[in-house]
Amino acid sequence: MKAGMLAAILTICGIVNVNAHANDLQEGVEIIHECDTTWHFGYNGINLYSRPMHRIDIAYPTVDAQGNSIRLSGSIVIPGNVYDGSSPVDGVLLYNRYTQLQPECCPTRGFAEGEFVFMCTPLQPNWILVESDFYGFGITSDHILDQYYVYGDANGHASIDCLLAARKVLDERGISQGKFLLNAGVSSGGYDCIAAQRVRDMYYKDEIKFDKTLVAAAPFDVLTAYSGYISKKNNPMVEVSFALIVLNAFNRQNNLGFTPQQMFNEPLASKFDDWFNSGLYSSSQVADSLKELGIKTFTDALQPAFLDRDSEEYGKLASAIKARSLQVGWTPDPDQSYYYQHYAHDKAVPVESGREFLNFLTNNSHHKKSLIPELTNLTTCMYVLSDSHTISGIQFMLRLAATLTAYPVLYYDGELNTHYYDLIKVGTPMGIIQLLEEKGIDVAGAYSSLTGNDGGGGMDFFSLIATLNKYNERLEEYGTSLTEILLIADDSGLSLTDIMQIINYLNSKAEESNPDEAACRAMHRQVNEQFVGDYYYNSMLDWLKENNVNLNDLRIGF
Amino acid sequence: MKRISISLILFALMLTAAKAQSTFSVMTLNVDGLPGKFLLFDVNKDGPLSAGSERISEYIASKDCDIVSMQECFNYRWEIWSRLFAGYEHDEWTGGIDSESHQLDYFHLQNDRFPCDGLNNAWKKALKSTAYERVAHEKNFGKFSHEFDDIITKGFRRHEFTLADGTEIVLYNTHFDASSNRDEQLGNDVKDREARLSQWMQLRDHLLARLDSRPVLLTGDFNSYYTRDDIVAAFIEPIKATGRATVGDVWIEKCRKGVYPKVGDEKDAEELFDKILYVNPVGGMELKPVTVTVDIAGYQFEGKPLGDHYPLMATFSVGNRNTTGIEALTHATKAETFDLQGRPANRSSKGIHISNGHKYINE
Repeated sequence: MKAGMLAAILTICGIVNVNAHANDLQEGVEIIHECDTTWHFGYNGINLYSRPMHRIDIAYPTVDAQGNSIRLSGSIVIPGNVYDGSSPVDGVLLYNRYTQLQPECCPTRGFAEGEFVFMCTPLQPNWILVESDFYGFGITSDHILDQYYVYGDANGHASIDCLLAARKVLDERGISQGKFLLNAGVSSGGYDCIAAQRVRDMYYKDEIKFDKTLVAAAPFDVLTAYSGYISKKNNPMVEVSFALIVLNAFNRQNNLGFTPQQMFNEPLASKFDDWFNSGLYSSSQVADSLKELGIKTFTDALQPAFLDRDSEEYGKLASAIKARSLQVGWTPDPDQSYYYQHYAHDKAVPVESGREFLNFLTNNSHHKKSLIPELTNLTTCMYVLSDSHTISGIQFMLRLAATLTAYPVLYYDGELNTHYYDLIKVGTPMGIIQLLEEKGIDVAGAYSSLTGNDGGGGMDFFSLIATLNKYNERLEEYGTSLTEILLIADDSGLSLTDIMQIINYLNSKAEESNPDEAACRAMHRQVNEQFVGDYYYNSMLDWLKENNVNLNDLRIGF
Repeated sequence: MKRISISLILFALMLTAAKAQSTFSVMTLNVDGLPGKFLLFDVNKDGPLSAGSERISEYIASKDCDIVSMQECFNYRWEIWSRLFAGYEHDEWTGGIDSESHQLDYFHLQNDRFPCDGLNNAWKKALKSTAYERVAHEKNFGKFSHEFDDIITKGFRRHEFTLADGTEIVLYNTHFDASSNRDEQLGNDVKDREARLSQWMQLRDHLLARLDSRPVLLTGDFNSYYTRDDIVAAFIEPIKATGRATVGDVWIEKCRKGVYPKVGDEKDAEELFDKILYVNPVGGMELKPVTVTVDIAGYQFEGKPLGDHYPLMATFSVGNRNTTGIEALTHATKAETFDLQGRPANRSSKGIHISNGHKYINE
């Protein structure tokens, strides 16, 4: 552990005085570094794709979690072909990076481990990325121990202020920002993405309008996530490191006063500071080391008091987490649109915390869940079968790349494409099926073969529903249950009536024919490609397949 | 018998006088030349396609007009030109809607735009185009919806023609921004209207910047109705207000006695998107419309229209301000003339008639 890096932490409970945020953001934006660079999509040491980028690193004023004025750093990354004027820019993506434990793993240090997945492929999205380093990284790397990890909307302020600063720089440079503005993040970056949306809704409604906020596997409700860990405390099919980082962060930020020995079992307690607080190791390395140490369950890692909802320790932690909940004081703007994705069996971030986000939006705003892309202001995509948080993240990034490519087409004329709208406005599942059949697509044929995964590590809802009756015995094999399916259906905005209608219809059709599997898979794809984004998504999967990329082998530490 | 002899003498005198005047005929026709299919999408499966385009070519050739302005001349240009080669010259063809001649960037379709404008002009070999210019519209609306105007490079073409007798005229051919019935019904065509008005104004400014003593014809598929787009305010009145020229629309002149429909009024059922306007410079040569024909009945094959627009034809006399037009009539035949409802013109009435520039007596 770097003892010198330990800093005094103020215990601040309750809501930060947000008025303190109203410092003059037009002042004090400074370019600290600028360079041409090249981003690579690499796989097993082989470079699959390169893309020239121009990076402008800035320092900008913002506030910390307590509302005090601070300066942070961040990057504006412009694709080379946009920067040199050979391609028009489509928009700006405010990207919120995911968990990092090393100070060099931030945008201004050139770290773009996740970004290359959605920027460096043949899709070549012509979007400008804006990314904050967040507190504890970049010019504040001396304070890495104090990084705000899923901690209220602290990183949300950092992100929004970075966007405002980037706009100023781009305007002064005369660089177009295109037509669109998206906000995205996965895992802890998903949490920060939601935090940025919260800050926007509460303080910057007029200045900033996101066209869409795309989130995946976010621990939106941190306490629900932690509670999920307790429920699975003896389950070896979990990734424990996220819970440990949360506990460590709230202990530090709220000065709860727990020592590693009070929080963790040996041998982890002795190693914890070195592994988690030294800034020497990546989150992937830490996760691997935990496995090597034989820590497979929360019971292995945490002291019993931190797995007991009635303990004093848990009470202190829960209070600290509740006080920083994103839900407090936020009424989501119904004019803002979301895409949310989560694996139902995510081993690192329990799906329940993400489900809380969907419920929060639908209960506190006029957001209506739907699994039909662009049909409502809350598109959801819940997967089962794969439980990998990493694969979940990679799949989200591929989806993000597809969205960056599809969005300028779908919304080119300043409104959702009217032809596309005509297709989805019949957006009941049966309506979609009937429309596809009118177009000559054999949905029932596709249904009868929907048993494999989609190449991205998961099976989508339609695929799963299709297996319900005909392949009912496989549900157990897939580690799921009818109850869970119905829960996911609810996440997707489907009623039980919808489901039964689909199943009855498809079963009656399936009995009429027994189409060949390959043809049905092709049909399945054809069904998916009715949604424009899926065309690009499948293009990405094809490209990865051509390059023999197994997503499970992509090493990205979420 | 005596009456007929007098008529013939008068007619001969008129023809003699006509040598001092110039006349010509012009047709504007959207030839509906989009492909049946593009990529996976049915674009124009009910259109004329290849065989129908040949019939359109036959039709055009049969009308024997001096100048033909065509729009949507995309994928079937060889068919469209097939019957015209013998008698006509034509300007450039800028391409069709296909993925062979234009490589698409499927991942950035928003940046893609076909270079073609779909416009094409043909003129009889006795005429000469002495100057030609192609200009793109500055404003379009609708790339992947709203009739996809922005996916091609729509605009206008300007020709300076010297007629057979040496008279010079200027002619524009254009295709304006379209809006779909769906968007119009939903009131979702505001931006389409804005684009069209912008195009009217761009055309006006281009015309005025080059206006000299030569009269100007404006032909094309304007996708505009007087009741929907304020053509008078955007185009006609500003030109008149300069004091440099007068403006007329052959359909307004001949079929509405010079009275323009008002914006917001119910649409005149006979009005077309296709128009022929003319601009006469003050102190310069003057165009005078003599006939106007919308050939609905003749533009058919087996009871169906050859395309999704009907041909609009007009004959003009061109001369000084005293020209009446009647003495300048030269060609065309009785059977080829129809009124705006597609009925053969003047079939039942008796007396001296003038149609498509041809004078005849119906007894």
